[in-house]
Amino acid sequence: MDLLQQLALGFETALTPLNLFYCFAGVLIGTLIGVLPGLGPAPTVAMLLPLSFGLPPVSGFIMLSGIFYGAQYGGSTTAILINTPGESSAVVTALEGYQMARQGRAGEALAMAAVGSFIAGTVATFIIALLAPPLAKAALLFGPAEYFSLMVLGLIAAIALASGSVLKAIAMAIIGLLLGLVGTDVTSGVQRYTFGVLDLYDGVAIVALAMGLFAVAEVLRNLDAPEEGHATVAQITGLAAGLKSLRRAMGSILRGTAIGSLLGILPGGGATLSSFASYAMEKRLSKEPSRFGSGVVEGLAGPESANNAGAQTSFIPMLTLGLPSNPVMALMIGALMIHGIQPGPNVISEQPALFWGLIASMWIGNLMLVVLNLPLVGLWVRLLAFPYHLLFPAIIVITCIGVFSFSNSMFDVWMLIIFSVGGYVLVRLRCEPAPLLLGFILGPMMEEHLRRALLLSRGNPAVFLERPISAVMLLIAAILIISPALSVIRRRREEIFVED
Amino acid sequence: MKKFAALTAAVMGVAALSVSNVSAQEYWPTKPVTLIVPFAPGGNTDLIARTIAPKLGEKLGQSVIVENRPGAGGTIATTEVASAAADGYTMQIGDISTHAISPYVYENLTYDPIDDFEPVIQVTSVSLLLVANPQVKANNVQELIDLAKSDPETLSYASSGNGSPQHLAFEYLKSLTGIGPLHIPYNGSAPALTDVIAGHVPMMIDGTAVPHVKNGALKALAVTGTARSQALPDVPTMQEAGVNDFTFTSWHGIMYPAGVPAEIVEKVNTAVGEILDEQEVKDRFAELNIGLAGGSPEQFAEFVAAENKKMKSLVDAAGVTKD
Repeated sequence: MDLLQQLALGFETALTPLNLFYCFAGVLIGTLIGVLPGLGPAPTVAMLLPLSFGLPPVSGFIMLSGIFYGAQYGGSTTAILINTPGESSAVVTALEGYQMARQGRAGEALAMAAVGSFIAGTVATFIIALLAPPLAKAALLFGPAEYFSLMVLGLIAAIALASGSVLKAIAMAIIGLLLGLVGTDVTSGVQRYTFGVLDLYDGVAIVALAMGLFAVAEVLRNLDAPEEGHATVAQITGLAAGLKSLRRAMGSILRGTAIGSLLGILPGGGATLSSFASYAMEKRLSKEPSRFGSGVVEGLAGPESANNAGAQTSFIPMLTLGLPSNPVMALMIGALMIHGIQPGPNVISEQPALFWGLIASMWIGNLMLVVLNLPLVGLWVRLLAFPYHLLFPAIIVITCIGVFSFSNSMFDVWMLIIFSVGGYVLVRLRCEPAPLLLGFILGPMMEEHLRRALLLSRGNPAVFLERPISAVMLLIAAILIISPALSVIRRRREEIFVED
Repeated sequence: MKKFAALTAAVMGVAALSVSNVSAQEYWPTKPVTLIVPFAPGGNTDLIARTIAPKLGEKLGQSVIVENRPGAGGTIATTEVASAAADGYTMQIGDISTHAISPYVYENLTYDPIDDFEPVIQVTSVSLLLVANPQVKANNVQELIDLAKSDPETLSYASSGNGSPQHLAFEYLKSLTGIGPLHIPYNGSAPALTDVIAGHVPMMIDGTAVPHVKNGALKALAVTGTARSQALPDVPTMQEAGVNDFTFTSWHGIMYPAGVPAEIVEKVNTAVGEILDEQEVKDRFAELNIGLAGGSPEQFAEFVAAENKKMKSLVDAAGVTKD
């Protein structure tokens, strides 16, 4: 079967009225639940997993996938509107998106996110259709040493996340690393900073941390100065402005798509990096990097695209190798197994209708998201016109529900409250929480891969340079550190020559 | 006189109480029952619970709600269940980790896996698989032992974490055969299996590897249970492969907090036993490569006690701690 025939089979499967309905239902339900603060894709899919059990496997799977990217998209919507990132990738979306919303450019930001995601989704779908099996094999080349070097590269690039003082950003990243230490050490089994509290054995819940630092802290900050905030409803720009700035952001969207598609394939945590990496890249390429953090459209479009492309390509290791790259994919495998389908290389040959139908439905689902959300932009934006004294309690209550439902844990809600206070203190000190969160996410992964690589090499650090992929990434990281330093030296020299 | 009245009242009260108790058990359940899954949705434990819950609900005439309460290797949920009301409305899926290993691995647990629970029924008995990357130069257990002995410095094995059943099973194999490959712990089965398939780590013992063996991504050297696996009938058991005395099975069962009336335990035992006999359920578990168990509450209680003894000695021998 050549590609055209396969795609034809895929569309034939995905375009049956029944599957179209389930795709639409999934996207719609996913969006509606995903917009609730704190409910990211993983809890949404987990909650709705049983819905798929009664359906035929293909329909159930198409619906679950729809729920997945619907929830992802819905999460971006509230991250932009009210600064509530429910998961790590939405943190980056909130950085520029929320600033745009505060300036009355919410419509533009939402339209940009929708169109950027659609373009990224389209490209990533084609990548899956064309290259899934070889890409999955390539992903397996990434062992502990490679992941460690990738994380080093990510952390160094992440200094770009700081829009203010670099010193403060580094301090925040280190606090994040320290918070990331809490919990059971994977390598030795030792408990670190858990004080015998079972709820801390798995570490600090990222939802509680992210929602506390961003969402609730923002509410508190707004209560400080109620006259600012969203008094600018009258000037809220709509769709048209979004489409206008699309041309400006096109390069960012394509770059973000490329980064996301590549990192999404890596099962060991690559997708988590994609939106951070895209943001860092956009800032580096920008002519005015100092404006990042104040609502720059490139800083929203790039990461949103990267995030969506990564979400799409993270299906590759699951579909072709039966290996889940994130909790959502683990749920998907569970859903397949309950229908008696063993995910793995045989899915493509034994269940061609499922495989190609899913791929076709990914594209259709992305199209539906745009069609669904562009008209909704106006509605979402009107949410901001709500009186603030009504919106605030609602945000806090729904945030608490979201955090609680993540693992049915009251402890996480207490953590949310603690981090909210901490987040408010950080706002007052003009420290940005984004580097903290990146340190929190990358730190433990970096440590785990470093120690695993050293265990496997029996303590020989040369392994990071002997393995070519790892060596190249460390080299790029070194260049990233050295190049600004070099350009400073060169400038000094030129200045010296001028003085002569 | 007053005293007598008080006594009568007390007697009548006790009588009334026991009458209402009897009727409470007779009419149980009168409201939805919660089945707590101590792990995140999507894993084997969750699938088992979600397969059984709706059918159990039909049999009991009240819905059975599955509640996922993940954290600390299942011990958070288990701690909560241990102190839950013994009225029969809170039950959990317990497994080899929560009710036989964790109590000896974690030092801060407040529950006792035997005294604080009323075992209801053993639901599964899962044989694990010793798998190796196809590049490894050993095609059976004996060759693997020879390889490990001739080259003790380079061989490693992966596991889904410190103190996991997979870790203990391999340590058990090490102690019986005298080999010493280095333990490389991961955070869960999936990433560990990924690295074995990719060849970064040569081998591991795990329960979820069957599909990867079937499609050739891994080779299976032995199953850890007492009988061969239906899914892979060509793979010998450890004992058949020459490792005497080696048996290791993972398991799940339904647990009540201690003190739940025997009538209720019996009722649930019978209902779940019938469910495990249904062909549809058998087929579904066969697809998941999960062996079904069953039996009486007493059998399950004896089994849990024996498992506790065995796991404690394995944990002590391997020196695993989480504190």
